[in-house]
Amino acid sequence: MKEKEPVIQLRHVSVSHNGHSALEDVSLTVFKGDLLGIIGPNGGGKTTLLKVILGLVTPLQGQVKVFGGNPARNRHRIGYVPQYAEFVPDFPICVEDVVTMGCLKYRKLNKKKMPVCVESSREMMERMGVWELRKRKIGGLSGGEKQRVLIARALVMAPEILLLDEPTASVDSHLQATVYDLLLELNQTLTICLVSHDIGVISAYVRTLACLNRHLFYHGEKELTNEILMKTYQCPVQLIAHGVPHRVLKEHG
Amino acid sequence: MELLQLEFFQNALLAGVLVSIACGIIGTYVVTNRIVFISGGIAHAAYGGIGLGVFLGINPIIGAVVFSLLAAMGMGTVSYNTHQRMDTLIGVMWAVGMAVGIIFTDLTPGYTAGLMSYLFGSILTISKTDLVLMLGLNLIVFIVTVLFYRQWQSISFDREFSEIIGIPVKLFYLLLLSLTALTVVMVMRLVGIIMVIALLTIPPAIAERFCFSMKRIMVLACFLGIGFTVVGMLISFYLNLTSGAMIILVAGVAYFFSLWINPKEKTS
Repeated sequence: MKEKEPVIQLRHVSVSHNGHSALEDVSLTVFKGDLLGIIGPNGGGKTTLLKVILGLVTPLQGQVKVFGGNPARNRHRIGYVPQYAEFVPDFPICVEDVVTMGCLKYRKLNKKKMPVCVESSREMMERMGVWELRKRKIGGLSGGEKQRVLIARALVMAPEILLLDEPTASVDSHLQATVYDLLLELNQTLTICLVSHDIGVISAYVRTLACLNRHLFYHGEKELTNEILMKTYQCPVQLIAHGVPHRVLKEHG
Repeated sequence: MELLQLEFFQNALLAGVLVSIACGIIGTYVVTNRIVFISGGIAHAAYGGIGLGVFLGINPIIGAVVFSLLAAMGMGTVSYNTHQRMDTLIGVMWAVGMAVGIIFTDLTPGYTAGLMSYLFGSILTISKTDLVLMLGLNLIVFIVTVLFYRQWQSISFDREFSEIIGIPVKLFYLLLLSLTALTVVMVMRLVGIIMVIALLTIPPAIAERFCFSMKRIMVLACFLGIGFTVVGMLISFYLNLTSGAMIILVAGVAYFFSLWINPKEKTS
């Protein structure tokens, strides 16, 4: 079997906002084909970590490499799915216009690819099940529908990595599993990295886990111990996953 | 109808139409990008330029253009980099601009009461030159909007994603504020500095309730703006009241009326 190819590499990265440290000495490597879940409490630096990978935030210290190079230069190869909650709630834009935003990158890079991209927008909307909603205003959709629209937008960029920020935060709990099933399917061709504060569901689906609360506490196969969770959340957390086939918490001997 | 024979009224009407188009387009961006307060700051900072223009004996409009562009660049750069204390900074620029204008006016010998027309607008003094300037600005606003509509839509909706896909976000943001500054100077002639924000924001704010693409909001806002200015001018003429204030009053009544109407869920 051939050596796994690293696509994102962070070495001893520290970030601070107005004197408050958001990330401290974080080292993390994401390999091609990974499905990595980064969990941690709110305010633990999860979104900051994604912004560092995208080159939107420059670390105070440390080194970041995306596809072996500068993150800002390679970020067009990353499909970013932000939290819808951060947008203006009633912005006048329809689903179709949101999805084709992903094509604007070709205006600059490659004019010939523009029409191809518009064509693929249709494909992605159909794949995400939002084609029928294309003329609807995005603000009027349900949380799950919005999430699928934003994933479709990221996919039309034909990315090699998909970065998701709290992909199920605004999704009804009984529909969250469908979002993860979708991600599992996409993981067959894409490297996926997602952050969430929701330990239960995420840990049942992802292949590798990392725990982040300013420091990176754990990174590896998804066998969490209470000790690691205590360190990350600084309070006991119960791992109860609804509708999940197996429990991820290590049994006590 | 004898009204339409009067040259000043023809000019005023034409100016109203031109200003409404620029306001409809730029106002849509102002409302959706939530930069209404910055636009107000730009308008009031422009008064400093008017005072300076009068003091130096040059066309006050030139001073207003320079000051409003500088204010737009300054506030744009600061607000782009940090969101902290932005309202304070805008408030300070707002008041300092006015203060500079008043002090320069004091320092200018002779009769300067004409400056009031910049505060409250004066449709009687709109000249052919003003109309040509307005037409030119409209063309710039129109061309830039058509060329970069998708980029601006993208930036207005999701600035971070736009940056990731390689749109020069900061450049577009500063360009938007510059166009806002020029529009503000143009509107100032019609309704005055104090009421600029109303004409810039009321038409798109009403349109936003009934359409859900920026394109449609722009078109509807242009027509609403034209309606408000024409109706406002006619009322002010027949009742012999200040035209700028009457235009804003008409727009304001329409706005509150629109809040009362419940738009139905639209699908297309």
